Amino acid sequence: MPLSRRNLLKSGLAGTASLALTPLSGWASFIPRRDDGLRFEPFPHPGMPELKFAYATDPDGNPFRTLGVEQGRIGTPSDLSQRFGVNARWYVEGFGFVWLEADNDGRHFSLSEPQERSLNLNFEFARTRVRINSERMARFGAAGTSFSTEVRHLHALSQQLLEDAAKATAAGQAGLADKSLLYALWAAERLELENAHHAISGQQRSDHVYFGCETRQYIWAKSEPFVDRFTDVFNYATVTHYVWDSWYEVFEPEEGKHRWGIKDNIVDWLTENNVTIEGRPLFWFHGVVTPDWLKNKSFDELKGYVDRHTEALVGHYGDRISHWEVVNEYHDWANIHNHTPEQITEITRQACEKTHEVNPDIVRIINNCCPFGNYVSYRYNSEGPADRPLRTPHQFVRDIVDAGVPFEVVGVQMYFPQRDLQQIIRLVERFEQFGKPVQITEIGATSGPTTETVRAGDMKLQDHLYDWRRPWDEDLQADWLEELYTLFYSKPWIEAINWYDFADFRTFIRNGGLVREDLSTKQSYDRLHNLLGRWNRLPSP
Amino acid sequence: MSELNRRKFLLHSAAGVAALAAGPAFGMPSILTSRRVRPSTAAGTLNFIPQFNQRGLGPHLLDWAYASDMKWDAFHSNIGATSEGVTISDTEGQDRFGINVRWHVEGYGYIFITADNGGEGYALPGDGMQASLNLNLELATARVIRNRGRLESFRAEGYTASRDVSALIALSEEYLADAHRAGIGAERQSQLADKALLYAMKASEPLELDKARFDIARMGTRDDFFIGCDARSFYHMDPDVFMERFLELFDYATITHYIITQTHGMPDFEPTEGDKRFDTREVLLSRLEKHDMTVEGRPLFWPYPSVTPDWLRNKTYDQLRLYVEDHVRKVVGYYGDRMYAWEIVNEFHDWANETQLRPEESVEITKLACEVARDTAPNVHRLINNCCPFAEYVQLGKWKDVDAKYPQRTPWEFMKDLVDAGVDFTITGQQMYFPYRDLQDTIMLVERMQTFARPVQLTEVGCSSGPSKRSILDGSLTFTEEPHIWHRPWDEELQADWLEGLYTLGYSKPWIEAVNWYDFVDGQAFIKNGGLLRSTQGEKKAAFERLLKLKKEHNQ
Repeated sequence: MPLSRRNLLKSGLAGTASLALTPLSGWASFIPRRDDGLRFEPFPHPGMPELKFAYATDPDGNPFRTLGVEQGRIGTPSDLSQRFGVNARWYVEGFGFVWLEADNDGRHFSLSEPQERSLNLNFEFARTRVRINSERMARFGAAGTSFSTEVRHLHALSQQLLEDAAKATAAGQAGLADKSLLYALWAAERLELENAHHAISGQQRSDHVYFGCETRQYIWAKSEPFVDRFTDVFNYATVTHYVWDSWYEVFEPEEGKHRWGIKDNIVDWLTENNVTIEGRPLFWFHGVVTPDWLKNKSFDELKGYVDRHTEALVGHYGDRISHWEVVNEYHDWANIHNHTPEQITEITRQACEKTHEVNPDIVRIINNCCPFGNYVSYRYNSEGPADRPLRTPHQFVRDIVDAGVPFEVVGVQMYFPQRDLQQIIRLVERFEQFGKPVQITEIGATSGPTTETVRAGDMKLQDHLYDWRRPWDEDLQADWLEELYTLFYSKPWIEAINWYDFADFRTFIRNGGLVREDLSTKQSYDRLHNLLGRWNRLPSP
Repeated sequence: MSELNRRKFLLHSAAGVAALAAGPAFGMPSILTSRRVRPSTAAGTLNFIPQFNQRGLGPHLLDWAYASDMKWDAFHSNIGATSEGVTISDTEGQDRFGINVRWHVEGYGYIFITADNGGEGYALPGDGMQASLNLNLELATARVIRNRGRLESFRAEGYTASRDVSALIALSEEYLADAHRAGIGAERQSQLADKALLYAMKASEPLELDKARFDIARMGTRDDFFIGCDARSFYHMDPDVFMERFLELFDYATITHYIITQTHGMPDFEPTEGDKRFDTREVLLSRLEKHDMTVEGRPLFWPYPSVTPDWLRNKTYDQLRLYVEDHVRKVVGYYGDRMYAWEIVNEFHDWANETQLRPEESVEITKLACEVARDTAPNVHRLINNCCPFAEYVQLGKWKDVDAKYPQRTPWEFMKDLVDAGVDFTITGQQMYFPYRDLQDTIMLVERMQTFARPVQLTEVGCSSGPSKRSILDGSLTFTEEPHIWHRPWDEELQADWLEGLYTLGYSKPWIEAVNWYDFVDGQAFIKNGGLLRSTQGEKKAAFERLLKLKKEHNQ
């Protein structure tokens, strides 16, 4: 059964951890021997579930393999020849249950270097984050950002506690490191936001920036409040064209037979309201939207289909749709045909070229999910275990750029990734190097369970292992939105930020809408409206 | 008007009490109030102007507030709170005062905080004059200065603040200084004050807890400290399961003797006058005695609506004296020295007063009951139990549901009256259900009870573990839309955190002899989901485990 992105996002680590523990053919899992490699000794919060999963990242931040965990200790295999960082999901009381990396002061660990063979994981997490904060503060400060008393104090406190931890006995080290990490995380998000505010006020962006959302719920809520609320804040919208999708009537029930009805209606509505439209996707080879007639095509047959499908969709709308998401999650997540990297590049190139051929004015977007690429470490994609090493979105984009695939925009999805804001923006910054505008193509976070969703069995109660700051609620969803949009807007190379679920009706992320099912606005909608107003980015009436 | 019981007061203080405050209570003429005839005490108006920098839906300021005197006792005034601010112009004779507001400290909680002009108190401007202060700044100033004072006094006792406590205090101090420098009325001033307040609040509890641990380490294991709980769950669950779980945690138990009981799942103790039913309680006491449990009987007199039958409610004062004398003699006499202590009166300070006694009559009844109890069983302790520690009811003018007929006293003032009247009690009891205050406020309030030179018991403590799936399905406890009160929305771990904090503080004070959790099991709990067990099946919650861990750490 295909693994849906939602399940991946929802289960986060629990799901993937259990997958990772499943014996997979060709997958290099191992149990560390005590006498080789490095061992990372965790001293987890008593409320944290047993640590069962960890993975290694290369110095560029790409995950590449799992690390064995035995009785809570993280070990490294003796054949680990490259430098690596250690990643695990870690509960920081007062901050959240988030993924963290330990990167040995930025140099990454190496089995070939002499060093302590047993390391305190708490200390290593703290050491890494304090160092990252120092580096970023220095860099941002050199560019003119001056930091608040709060950031300076918190950072200094995290440094001092780290120094205390370094001098402490083994018994006391973890506790001091935990405190250091807590204040470092508080400092991390605040310093990023202060830098972003400084950048925004300095830049006074005047370029065209898209603030968008998905429109599929139009079919359900074709009402005045829906129309008004949507067009009051958004100048950009995506119109979905999954080949096989239970949301709408099936778009392409038979090859080449397209049902344009509702999509034409949506495009007409958006056009009337001067909303820039992105069609999406031309190709998303995920099990949930791929009928057998498409799944069973040979590579050559598929190439023929790619041309015909591109021509039909891009041609149908002409200039009414200015942007097309050419491929979605093809980096190595949605790959039902089990294409090789070379085949993926070939299909992507062909689709991009065909799009341009049909309408040279189209902006072509390559959309990528799972931005941190955890799935690479345990070699799983949407269809299950993979039979070859997988690529992260960044590696995929690098490959197609190197191969000269013609496209204009790098797309990055950013559903709440169980990471703090600093990690998110640092990850997205890595995509700047491709010299193309970046679109944050899909964003979402829940506003948490409600009495109704718990009663209906749709959502579970949250416990003390909250993801970020506290259990999700409408205010917290709004905080995340506001802060993330602020970070993204501060980057002039990010040209679009698109929330995914507009309303809490058949959402991708449960209760991830900006308005409730009755179309009353949530804090997140109001906050977005205010934010865009402050930036003078609300659509013209 | 819907009935306001203590639980509703605690759980819904904002909404429930606001509704009361907005109701006819204040404007309603009462027959005997001295307020109607007292000389005018109105003066100029002092305004505390808020700036709402908080994000989110709010509310960020509760729509009622209360004033307190320089001892921190609530007193009645004409204080009011709206989104425009807090206004006061008649303190009914108090020269200097503080204000107490429920304020949303973003990143901490929506919680009651006192502003007291840095400990100096405010004074009203002259008649006809207006003065305005920045509420954000006043709240921050009060807390920062208070932390400063606490740290100073702790240092004098040999305590050295930890790295993070020192840093958080320093951060709050720096923000406060920046706020004062920002200039009166500047928007920036409020923003800086908010930061000062946030970090001062974040410093307060670690400061108190660090100091408590320091004291505990210096003091060593205490053999004079009880960890207790009310034992009524014996009747709600398999008695053997109850005993196993109860004995794991507790060395002190209370057995309730409500005259009649509507909600507590125990049979009435005295359904008709003179018909006292000891049998049921005897079963429980006998089981507890087999395990050398220290047991307190409670209460001898609690004139609260739900436990007061008409035959008692309608007695004249003289009849009531006779009843109390007889009741105390018979009940205390029945058990004799099998009880460690008797709770002589409960919530009699000015919350439970179905018998509508005057203040001096309450003191007399208490004195009588103490004397009879002492005469009957001289070795048994006599405990005075008080609820509502911060006495917000004084502003609201309520004896539970009904309008108070006389000016009201706080628990501390009541105890002072008892001491002054020579009432022979031996233990000061104070309930401490989560009081919508942080732990620093909580322990400072309790510290005031030292004045009476008796051991203090925190007689009933508790907080919720938040909604559970079961409570959501049955509608007994669902989500709230208000900002969370303390740290984050209640959950089982947060309940355990509060428990650990309160017990740590209690254990660190040699004059506190007991801390007694009230609700043992959810389902029949006074505080919804306030139990230490999830159900009568006996599943342990985090708070249960935490208390067990704490006991082990203290070698108890």
